[in-house]
Amino acid sequence: MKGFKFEISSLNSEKCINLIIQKYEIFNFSKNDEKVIFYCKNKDKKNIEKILKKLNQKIYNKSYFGLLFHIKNIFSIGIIFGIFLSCILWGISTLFITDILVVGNYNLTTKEIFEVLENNDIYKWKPKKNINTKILQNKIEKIDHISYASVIIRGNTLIVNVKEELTNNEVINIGNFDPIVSIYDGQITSAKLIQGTLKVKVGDVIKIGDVLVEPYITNQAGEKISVEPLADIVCDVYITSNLNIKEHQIKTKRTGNSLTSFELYAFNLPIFKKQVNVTFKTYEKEENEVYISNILLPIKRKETTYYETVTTKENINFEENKQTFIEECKQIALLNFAKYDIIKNESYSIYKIDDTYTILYTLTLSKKIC
Amino acid sequence: MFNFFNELALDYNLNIGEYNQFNLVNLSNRLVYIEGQKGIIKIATDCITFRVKKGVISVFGQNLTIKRITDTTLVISGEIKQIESGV
Repeated sequence: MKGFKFEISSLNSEKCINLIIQKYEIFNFSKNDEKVIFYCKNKDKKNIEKILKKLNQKIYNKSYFGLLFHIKNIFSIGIIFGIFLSCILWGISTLFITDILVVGNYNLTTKEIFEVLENNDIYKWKPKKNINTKILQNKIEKIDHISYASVIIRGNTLIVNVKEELTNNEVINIGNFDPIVSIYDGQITSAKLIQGTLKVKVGDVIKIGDVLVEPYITNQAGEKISVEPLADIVCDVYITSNLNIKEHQIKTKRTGNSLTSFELYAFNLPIFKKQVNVTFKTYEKEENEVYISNILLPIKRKETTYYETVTTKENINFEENKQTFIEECKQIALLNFAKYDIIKNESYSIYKIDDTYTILYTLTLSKKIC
Repeated sequence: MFNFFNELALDYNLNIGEYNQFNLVNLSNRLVYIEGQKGIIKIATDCITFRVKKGVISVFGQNLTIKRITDTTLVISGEIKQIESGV
């Protein structure tokens, strides 16, 4: 039920009702000792109120009833005014562009495109009706290295979509080029062709010498055109290193005892000789030649030194030094590690044959191979 | 336009002018519909009295309310016990 509710004094209510019903309809009239409550149509409320006032009838309360009543209760005037004002502001804002978006530029900076827009008097909060997208499109297309541009207004955003020119290396690089071949064993994880014919795909296991990119492209007529092969290929490369450690090692050490003999030569002819008897059981020999004078008379001194040595047999405790050996083996494997490589996994295995331990260290690298 | 009371008068060969002072329908002692009311005399929860042409009608009962009232029609609801008509 919808309408307007009156609560009036019950005094002389019959007289009031009789006057009101001559022109207007009344619903749900109820009466108690003090009050009379009745409802009327919204359109009649003002006239009924006038009649009541004319009769000096006391009105206790008057309110909307039904849907209007709820609307009146839910929305205060402030909220309704706020919504109304928002609608107006929103309506006004739809007439302007509030944002400029540039997409599709990779080499060109957004700033360069914005400069062109500014030169053409395009800025935020410019009225939409003053923007001619076709003219703007033509002007943006005139920027160097832009092959195509589209300008659209979507909502309040001016979207500039540009396509940059592709560098036509095919024309420049026509000639005989070598294919790109793999210099690693591994598995392809990413393959992005720039130019040429890609011969591998992601997941392929490649060996050293496998062709990755052929130096040609095939046109629509099926003709092969020679181009410089270019691609970004990343693969998982397995690099292994091994280190052998013998359990018993024979080491030779110098004892510190030494004997020196020397000879003097002039014009490469021996002029003096000092010989020594080498009594050492085992020794190491070192020879050294020094020119004493080389101006008028070239005199050369040839010195031979004998160092006494002893041979010892050392037992290596592998388990104690295991980590050191593994680290040593890893460092050997890392010799193949380049600056931009990423270590994806590393593992090692140890096995023993006779008295020799062998450490096998494997590094899995994510390597950009071309 | 179809009028129930006119049709009834026609069916029984009654003079419409003569029998058109007021019409009253009582629906199961719960609702009373009156055509031809000429003004409210008294409104209370146990009695509603109103004028008709050449007379007065009183509806007695409990929790009586006027559901709808215009210049000629009146709908009374409640527990209707008695309807009296007088000059």
